[in-house]
Amino acid sequence: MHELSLALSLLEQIGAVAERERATRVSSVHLRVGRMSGIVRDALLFSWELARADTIAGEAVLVIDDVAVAVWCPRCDAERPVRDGEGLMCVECGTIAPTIVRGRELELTSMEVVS
Amino acid sequence: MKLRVVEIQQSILRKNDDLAGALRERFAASETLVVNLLSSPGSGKTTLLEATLGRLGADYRVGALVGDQATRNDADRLARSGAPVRQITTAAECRLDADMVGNALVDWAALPLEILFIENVGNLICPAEYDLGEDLRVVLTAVTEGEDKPLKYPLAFNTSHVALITKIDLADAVGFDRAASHAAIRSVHPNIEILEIACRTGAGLDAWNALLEARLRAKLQKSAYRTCYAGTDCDTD
Ligand SMILES: Nc1nc2c(ncn2[C@@H]2O[C@H](COP(=O)(O)OP(=O)(O)O)[C@@H](O)[C@H]2O)c(=O)[nH]1
Ligand SMILES: [Mg+2]
Ligand SMILES: [Zn+2]
Repeated sequence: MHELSLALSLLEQIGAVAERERATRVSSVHLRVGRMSGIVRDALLFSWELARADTIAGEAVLVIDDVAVAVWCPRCDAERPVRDGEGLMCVECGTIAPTIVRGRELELTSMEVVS
Repeated sequence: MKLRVVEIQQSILRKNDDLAGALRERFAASETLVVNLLSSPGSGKTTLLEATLGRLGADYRVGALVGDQATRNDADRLARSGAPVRQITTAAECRLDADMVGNALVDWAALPLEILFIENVGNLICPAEYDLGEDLRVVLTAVTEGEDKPLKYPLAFNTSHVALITKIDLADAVGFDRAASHAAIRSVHPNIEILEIACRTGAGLDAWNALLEARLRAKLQKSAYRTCYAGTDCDTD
């Protein structure tokens, strides 16, 4: 479980942005979290609650966008989803497609700040 | 008072990625081959390292960092090989990160090494996300774990350069299906290198050592080429 250390580095990044933007408060934080990022959403929310106290994001809402896994299928020449438990196999044509194009995100996408 | 949206688009792992990049440069300068070992608990990482440090230690300066949540047992086991070993106790953390590796290298008299092994914390999910500046990521799965680990933990196998199927001496006893195992691994990483090994019998260990030696030579060649290309030290013959 490394959600707590992730929440802490997230807060560090939030702090840096807030300072640069001369914000006095952060009201919301938006993340993109891929299904293959190894992160458990509830554990991250739990860690966030613990970690944000007494920071500039102390009252901020954390909004997490789930990102499904997608691979680049060379045969379809297109981005395709995969099914859990089938490996990285294109759902359309069955080709093994090891290039993961989405689903590994752990991204701070935006923040709403008050200044 | 004004409310506004700030667009950011920044990886939360950026700090680790930056630190790993710095480690990679450092290991390029010291010409150290770095090998990161990933697996579930009990797949045989420490056993493999005991055998590998013992054997390669005769010809190369080898050493190991061992990540463990609580005990020093693995580090003590490895130290018996005579190779320099440092323990990283991660407490609650379920993976090593580049910062832990950097800290473990501070004031280590054994440096520079020719091959540095890093035994990650036993876990197939979290370590896959953390670059440690390694050249070679090696994932282990034991025959006793069944054939479908790659399907359950695709990223660990997808991001590794080598997959080791361990405890192959037990394959018949547990009814291990070789073909199914290889197919599962290849379904997340078609051209990954796969070796079947057993530290108990020594099976496959020659191939494993040869692989490491080849990777080390390739790294040295690349390094020589880079030096030559930079025009500082060009010995062409
Ligand atoms: N039969 C057999 N057992 C092995 C082999 N390699 C490791 N083991 C056993 O598997 C157990 C776990 O090994 P260990 O190296 O501690 O796994 P780690 O948690 O990945 O470091 C130990 O009891 C080892 O003796 C092998 O090649 N064959
Ligand atoms: Mg171990
Ligand atoms: Zn396809």
